[in-house]
Amino acid sequence: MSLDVAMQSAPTEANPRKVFLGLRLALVAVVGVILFVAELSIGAAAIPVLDVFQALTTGEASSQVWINIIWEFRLPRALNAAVSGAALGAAGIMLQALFRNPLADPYILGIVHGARLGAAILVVATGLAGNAFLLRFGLIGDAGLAVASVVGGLVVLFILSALSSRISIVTLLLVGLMLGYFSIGLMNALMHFVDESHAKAFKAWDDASFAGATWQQLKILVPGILAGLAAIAFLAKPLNAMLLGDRYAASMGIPVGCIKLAVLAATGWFCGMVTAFCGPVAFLGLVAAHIARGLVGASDHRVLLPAAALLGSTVGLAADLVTHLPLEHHIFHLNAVIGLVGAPVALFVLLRSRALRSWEGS
Amino acid sequence: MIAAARNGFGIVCLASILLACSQLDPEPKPSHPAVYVDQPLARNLERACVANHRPGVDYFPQKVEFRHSSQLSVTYHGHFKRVKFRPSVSAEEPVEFLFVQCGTPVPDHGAGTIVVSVPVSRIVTGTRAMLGAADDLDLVDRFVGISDPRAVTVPSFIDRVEQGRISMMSGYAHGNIEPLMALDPDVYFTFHSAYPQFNMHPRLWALGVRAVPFGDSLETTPLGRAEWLKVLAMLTNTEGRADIVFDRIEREYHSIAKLVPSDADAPRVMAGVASQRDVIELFGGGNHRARLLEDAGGRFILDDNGFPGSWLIAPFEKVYVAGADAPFWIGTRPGIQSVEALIAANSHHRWFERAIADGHVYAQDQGYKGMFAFNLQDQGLNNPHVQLAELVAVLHPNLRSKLRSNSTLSFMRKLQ
Repeated sequence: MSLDVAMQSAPTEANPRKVFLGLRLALVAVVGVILFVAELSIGAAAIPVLDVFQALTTGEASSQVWINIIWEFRLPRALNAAVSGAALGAAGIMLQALFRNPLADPYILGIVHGARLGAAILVVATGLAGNAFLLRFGLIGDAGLAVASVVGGLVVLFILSALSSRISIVTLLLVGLMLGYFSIGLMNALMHFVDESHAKAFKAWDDASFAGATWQQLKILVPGILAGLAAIAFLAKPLNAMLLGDRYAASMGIPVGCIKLAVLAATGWFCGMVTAFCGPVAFLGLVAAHIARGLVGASDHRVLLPAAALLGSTVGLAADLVTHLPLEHHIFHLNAVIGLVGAPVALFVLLRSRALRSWEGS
Repeated sequence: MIAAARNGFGIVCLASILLACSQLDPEPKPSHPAVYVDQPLARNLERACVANHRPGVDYFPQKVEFRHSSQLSVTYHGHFKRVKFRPSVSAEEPVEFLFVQCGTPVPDHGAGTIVVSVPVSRIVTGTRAMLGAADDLDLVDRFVGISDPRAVTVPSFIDRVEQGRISMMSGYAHGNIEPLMALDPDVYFTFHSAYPQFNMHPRLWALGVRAVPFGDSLETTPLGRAEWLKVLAMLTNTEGRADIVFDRIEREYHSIAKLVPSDADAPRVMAGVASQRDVIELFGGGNHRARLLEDAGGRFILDDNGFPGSWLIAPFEKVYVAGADAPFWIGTRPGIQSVEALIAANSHHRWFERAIADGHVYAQDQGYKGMFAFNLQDQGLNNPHVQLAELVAVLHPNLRSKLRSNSTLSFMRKLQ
């Protein structure tokens, strides 16, 4: 990371530019709100917008089935997409900063697969799976799934972190990929120890989607991720300093080791929480991070982190909306939609972005 | 030293794995005796070839026709039968088969036509749908391989499996090509899916295997599905028996269907199970299973969906809107004993409140031995009348006294 790029992000930036940036972020937020409303209004069941509004405000609608669809399926799903997307966007930015690697992403680096493996081990250990597990043990089951996923993700993260100072960026990516594949292999092998119906239930859990989250799960997920997002605000300044190198950051009095540990813990927390309740969501962190870089046009983490969270949230809502469009004879998968729509957008932004050139120089 | 020990350990491991593997040792292929046919035949040659082919002779005096199938047709031509199969889903050009009497010449045919010499004596199947029909037609001894013999529910087939007369053919996509080629059967039955990526018959044809895709699950009526037993009969020249068996099925089916008053208040019927996080797996509204419900005086919740396939993945919301107040739920996940366990398997199940509250939740898994291993899988094709009688008894209890069944077979089970 060259010094001039870091200087772009200095707080002495001209006001018109800040205003323009603020407007862009506000526009993204407005798009996010529109998508959230669309999530509640559009789906396989055709529910008039007025009924959606009534169901949300008064708890009444023309049909009890519609009320259930809005309150028990669409609203939890939209909240899940918004919050989990934000978490993955923030995780993507932090991983890129930590590993100084534009391709760093929770899915590519195998962290998501580590989280899946953690959940799989818990499933096999209890002899149950997916929703069966959650229903059997209620809140404890939900929390257990989250903890297992967080621990699984953290294990992969710590291995990567331990290796990151000794190997090149490309090798680190390969190590992440290999750890991911190893986790997938181990997970498949573990499924041989549970019966067919439990393996099927695990497979259902393992299919990435924002749908199916219960209010009980959201009681863990939403506060957990919001608390995490609030906590990483304290990491923005140290991350800015670390862009200029660990020695420079240390000379400024930044406890580099502690900050790295905190970034690792926060990333593991986000990835684990999201994977526990949404399955292995792919590339959303990468896509959101790169769109955020293109939008912000600088490397100031005080702006980048909230921007990536906002973008992640918006991309998550958009992808989920496409997944649930009322199309006959076709069911989209979340990861397919993110890959199909998000990857070209991120590529376009990458190719135009000055931020990309800053990576090349680092 | 360490390297040598490591290599030795590797060799021992490899040898152990190889020793643990069992390879197929196929029995020698039996051949039908050749007989001279000098006079017009009264019956088809069920276990014989022709020694003196003469043009113009009708070698198939016993014939079948398809009255209900939406996919099959047949024409007889003296020494061969031309069968056409046009799948009701993703239909392109129909698949054409020539079933040629052994000992007679193969007629001119197109490059894509599959030629099978009949009567066949060695059958391997990658789908178990026709096993009950094979038992009805007394053809069990012609089967030498089944996709998963452990899953078989037909007693005569279970006996044959226990005698070691049936090889296991399990593997990817309803069959394993390598042991299949080793067994070299006269014909191989493969499952025909509405989704082309699951179909293995094009690959098998390319390898020279005489594969016949069974598209019974894509039929639009239960009797149309039952007519697939005639395919088995045509391959074994047992059309005479097939006519008797099918006529009985047809007669009994119609007599039960007539009991249901046409003005009956048809209760709506939910079917299928939740899958993944927000979809329901069920059958299409144009499938034979939907028609069975209709003939039993019920109404499938997605009857406006004309898809004839047996596997439809529908958004949860759509099925929920249609099925939330359906008083019956027939065809839940096999092997699950209670409603509580059904909900534990996927919490979405709890939203079909009416059927659960009324206590009308049924699985069609009598004889359950494991995933895809229960009576309906093997014996549903040739017993639509038994299925119909059970459904009528459930949907219209007032008609139970009029239902007379001499079948000990059953398919449905009420969840606790």
